[in-house]
Amino acid sequence: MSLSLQQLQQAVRTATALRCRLRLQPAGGPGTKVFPPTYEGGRYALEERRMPGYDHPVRCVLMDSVQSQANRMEEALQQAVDDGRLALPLVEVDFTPYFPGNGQPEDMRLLEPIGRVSSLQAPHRIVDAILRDSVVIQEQGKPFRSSNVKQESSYGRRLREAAAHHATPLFELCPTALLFGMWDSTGPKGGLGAKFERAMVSEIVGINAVLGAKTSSRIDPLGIQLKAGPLYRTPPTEPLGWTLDPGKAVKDNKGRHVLLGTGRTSEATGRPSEANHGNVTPTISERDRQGEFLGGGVTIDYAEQSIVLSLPALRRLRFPINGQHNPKADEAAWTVLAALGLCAAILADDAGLDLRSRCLLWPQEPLKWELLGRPGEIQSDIVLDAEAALRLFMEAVDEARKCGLPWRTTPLQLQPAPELVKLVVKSQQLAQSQGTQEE
Amino acid sequence: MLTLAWTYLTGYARATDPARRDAPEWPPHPARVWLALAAAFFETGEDPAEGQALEWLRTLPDPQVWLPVQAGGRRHVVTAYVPVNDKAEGTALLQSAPLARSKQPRTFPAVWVGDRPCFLHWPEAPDSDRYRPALTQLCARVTRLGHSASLVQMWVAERPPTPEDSFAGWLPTEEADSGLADLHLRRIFQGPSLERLRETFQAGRRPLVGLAAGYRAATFTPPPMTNTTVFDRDLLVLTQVDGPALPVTASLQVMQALRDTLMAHCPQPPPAWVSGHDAQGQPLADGRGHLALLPLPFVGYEYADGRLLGVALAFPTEIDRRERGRVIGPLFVNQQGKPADVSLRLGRLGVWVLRKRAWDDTRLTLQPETWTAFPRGAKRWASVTPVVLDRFPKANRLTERANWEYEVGSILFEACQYAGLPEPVEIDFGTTAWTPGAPRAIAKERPVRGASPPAQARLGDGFPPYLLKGARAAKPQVHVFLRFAEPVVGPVLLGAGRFLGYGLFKPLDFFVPKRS
Repeated sequence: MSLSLQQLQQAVRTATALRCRLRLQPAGGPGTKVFPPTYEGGRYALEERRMPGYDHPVRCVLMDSVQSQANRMEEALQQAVDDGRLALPLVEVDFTPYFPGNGQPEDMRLLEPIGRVSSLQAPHRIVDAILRDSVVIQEQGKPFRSSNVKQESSYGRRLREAAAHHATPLFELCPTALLFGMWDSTGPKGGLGAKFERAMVSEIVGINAVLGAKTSSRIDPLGIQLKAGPLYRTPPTEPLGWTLDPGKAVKDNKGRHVLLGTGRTSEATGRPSEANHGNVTPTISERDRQGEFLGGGVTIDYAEQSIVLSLPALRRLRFPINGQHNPKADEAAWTVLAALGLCAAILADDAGLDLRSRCLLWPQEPLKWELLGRPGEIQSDIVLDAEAALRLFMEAVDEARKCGLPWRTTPLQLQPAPELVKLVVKSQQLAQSQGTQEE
Repeated sequence: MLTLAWTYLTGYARATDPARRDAPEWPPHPARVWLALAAAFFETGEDPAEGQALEWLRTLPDPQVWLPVQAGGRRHVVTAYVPVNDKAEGTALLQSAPLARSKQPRTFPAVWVGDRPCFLHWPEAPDSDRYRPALTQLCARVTRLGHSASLVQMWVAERPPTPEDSFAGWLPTEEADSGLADLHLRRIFQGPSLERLRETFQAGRRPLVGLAAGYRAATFTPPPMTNTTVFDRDLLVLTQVDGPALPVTASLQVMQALRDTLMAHCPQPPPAWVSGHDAQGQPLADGRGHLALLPLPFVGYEYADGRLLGVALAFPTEIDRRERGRVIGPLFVNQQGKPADVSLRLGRLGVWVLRKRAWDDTRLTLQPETWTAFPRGAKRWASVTPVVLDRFPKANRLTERANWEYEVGSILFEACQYAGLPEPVEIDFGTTAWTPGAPRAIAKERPVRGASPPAQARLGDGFPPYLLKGARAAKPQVHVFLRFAEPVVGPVLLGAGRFLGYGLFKPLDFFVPKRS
């Protein structure tokens, strides 16, 4: 069955959670290799699970973390906003005037484009430092947020008051922060700033993982030999960056010609491989102390995505309007957030689970939702496609508006403060100079 | 009676161990459950009835913890690098810059639990009917236990689960006994009050939940077991955490060092059940009734290499757990209830570091049941370290072989009686071990050709002789196989060296012995 607005309203009032467990297979077919995310030291996040149908604990591997899934859902929402399928309150900082920055002073011309950064893209949502250090165009360039209340924009002032019992400002400006959680750790109140726990948790885990090895090699079609060198470094004005002619090479402070590369031994520098030419000896990925291959991908029985939307977490939020508390408005806002969560999950899965290079997963079945009521009560046949979810969301928004809740459909436009632009320009210059030093 | 239950909606429990940032907290501490209830109370309007119920909960004794048996699979803790919003200090690249934000290492420990519920159970909860409605209301508002991604559904359950439902229980130990408990969980009882929490929060601090209570795994009424030894089956297992890998033949040295450490760190003068000597310094007359130290080697399996993985302490049955905890506890458990490291100096072999076995260590060699065959017992046992005969046989082994064997058999028969074992129906002995991976009872020797004066050279692997203080010659030591008519629960320790790791037996009923 599908989910109507009335059913969703009923659920947010009484139920515990909306849950979805989805079985996925590698796009290459069962048993083909996929690559989980690697963590420090090239390690995978492995775990043992005791599962029905298996005699021994089964090794499982994390394919996509909670944090990463939240980012993918926000990305899917951003895409839907950009495509005009969805209108959602957003805060956007516009860096486009600074690239290439004709007419801007020298120190405010970006070396690389940044474009617009929205509260769906900034790592810390609406409380990210990028948004904090920007100004509101329509309020005569007042800082969006500031430690000095008198200078702060009206939006920043409202954000100061945000708390679980007063979530209206976030509902108006960035409802996704109420869904995926946020901590206003660098706002005017510092570490004591508002904290909202996440209501939506999604994760993908590969079941019965067997670690594989990764091989690497390169056969150079040009057949460039090791002894064809040495290669010398040229000044930045030269196109290739290297030369065989010592006469064209740069010289160090002792007047010697500088060889290309920063090989660990003197023999390694100046080799054609320093300019990415020549063969690469075939190798197998390294092993850890237990003898397991590092970063060599895995084969799995199947992967499981589990999405849980906690409804009591939404019910903790209160949405007073002009200081007046109204239970109807609260319920309308919870319904909007729950519908938004469903949209985010469904749109993200519709966009395809191409998690990273060589890790495309494919659902074996359509997304089916379970509604968890009281302990032991599960209604488990809710099917919702993207269009139905978007429609449900629009209806929920209409209801919320009728209750007088604020809902912005156009993004709140911010401009980066000149100091922020200068900072970005400077760090881009720094990154570029570091890049050339490392080459 | 009161039972609180919850399920992890995502199948995972995510909470950080309060003592270690890189480890998950499992099982969940009762105090964490209470704090989750308190958080729900503060964040949802502070209903006075709920507040009273929470304060009442604090007055109850420590609850039992019941968990689904399949729960507890830990995810390897990996370090993820995440973009932080805080100002970085002393770095060139600044945090506000969208493309140049540095990332900081963070860990997100997780434990797989599955869909089945977990329980806190108070068998004694007077007035529970009065507070049940408020608690039911409050439980429905709890959203998470631990990290924000650890979503739960919580309720007041009708009754606790049973082992038959595939649930494992953890029961609080008595106060005096908590020193040697299997694990320590932070308690609600004596924790912060709601008022204290409010003050703490307003001051911008985290709540301090200091005290921990000791917990033991719930064991179910064992089948009636008459065949036991003078040692308690409840072994205290210590695992090696640092130091060189040692073969089982180094047992004597390790046990001697462990005994010295125990003697030095227990209340002075050491009680007779630790030292084995009475107040006058005389060995205990009955020859039993004191602490025995057991080496735990990796033996008895196909690829066993005889390496020592740890040691165990076997207590005399008549010493109760409180006394054991009082005397031995402070050496192995620190004041926070966490296992403490114990270093043994082994001379040229280096320093060996031991720690109380983690309750979820899965290595078979370190499970007490591997050595005691509890609860079903075993009929066939074989020595892993050699049995040192209690006296010298009078017959000559080389010239009167049959007499010698008869005499050794009788000595072993008496040793079984002495150790409180039933009469064995079969005794066999020899220099080679029955268990794979265990070295010979004594190293073989051969005459060195052309040496003057004549000398012997050690040949092959074997245990060093067990030499008593002041003795000129070592008593014969042999490997022994025993078969009983009825199953026996261990630990089985025989012979003169049984308090220092020699004469340790392993149940053989899991594989076919080489000879029988």
